[in-house]
Amino acid sequence: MSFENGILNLTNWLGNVIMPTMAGLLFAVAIVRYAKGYPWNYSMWAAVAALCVSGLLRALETFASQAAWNDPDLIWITLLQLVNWVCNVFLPIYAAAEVVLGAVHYAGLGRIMPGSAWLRHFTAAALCLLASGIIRLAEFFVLRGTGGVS
Amino acid sequence: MFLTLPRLLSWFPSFGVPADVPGGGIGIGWMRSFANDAATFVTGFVVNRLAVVVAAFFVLRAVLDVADGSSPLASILAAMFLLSVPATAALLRGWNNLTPNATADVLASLWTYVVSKIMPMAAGLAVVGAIWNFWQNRPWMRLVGCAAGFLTVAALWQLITRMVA
Repeated sequence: MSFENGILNLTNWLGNVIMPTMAGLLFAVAIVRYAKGYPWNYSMWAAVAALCVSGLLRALETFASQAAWNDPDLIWITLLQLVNWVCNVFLPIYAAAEVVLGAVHYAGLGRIMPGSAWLRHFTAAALCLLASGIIRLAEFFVLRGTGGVS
Repeated sequence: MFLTLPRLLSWFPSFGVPADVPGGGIGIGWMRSFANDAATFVTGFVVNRLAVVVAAFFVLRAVLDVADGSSPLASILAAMFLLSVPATAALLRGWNNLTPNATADVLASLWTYVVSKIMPMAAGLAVVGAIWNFWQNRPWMRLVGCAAGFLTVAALWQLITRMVA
């Protein structure tokens, strides 16, 4: 028994066993909060993140390994890589999502969007029945994303 | 410090204070017997039995920490550390190069071990903690920064040394 093995197995167990399982619970919490009209985004994104703990750690490792381990510039290079990724990968995808939402609102579809109480309850009922399918869909997207963004 | 004490004492003759540690075993019968009994007590009772029971207590305390609303991580790490006392002692003994500088060398090896082996795994725990805090609407960016910091501690050390050079 060694401390190194202990913390390694603890990390693997939390990241690869517990968090993916908790993702189901987080999705369920997101659906219930959505049905009640409470903010639900945090639970949903936390569920997605829980499915890809290993991927997030690998991403951080990639950002932090762009230079030799004893290179004093590694801190700056890590931050630079993170800023580059946020500005060149994340923001363009976020921009596309905002354009779609802008078009939907401009077309006047806001009245029947899930913000409306009656539609929210119907949508919540459908989501409750589709919870397993949503989790499988999220897992599918995560598995498809293991190749990374090129 | 205890592991490297004989080598540390070897500095004293250079200060004019004779402190040579005699080699070989303990010659006085009752003292040899006491040393054997103490070794048996530490190995058989403290390390093999008491440490395991205390580790089990820390596992229970981890559950109570959760009930109290605080993080169970410290208790879990304490339990792991207690269960791995023999392996950790063997690791420290392996780093003892038996030179007058052994104390500093063992500490330097310990620092390298923590930074190169333990910190990358701690980064994984920090990512899990960040996701958990994000869900609960608590500060989470500091844990992401902490994970990045764990992965770049060696570079941070190099940066600080270059700054003061």
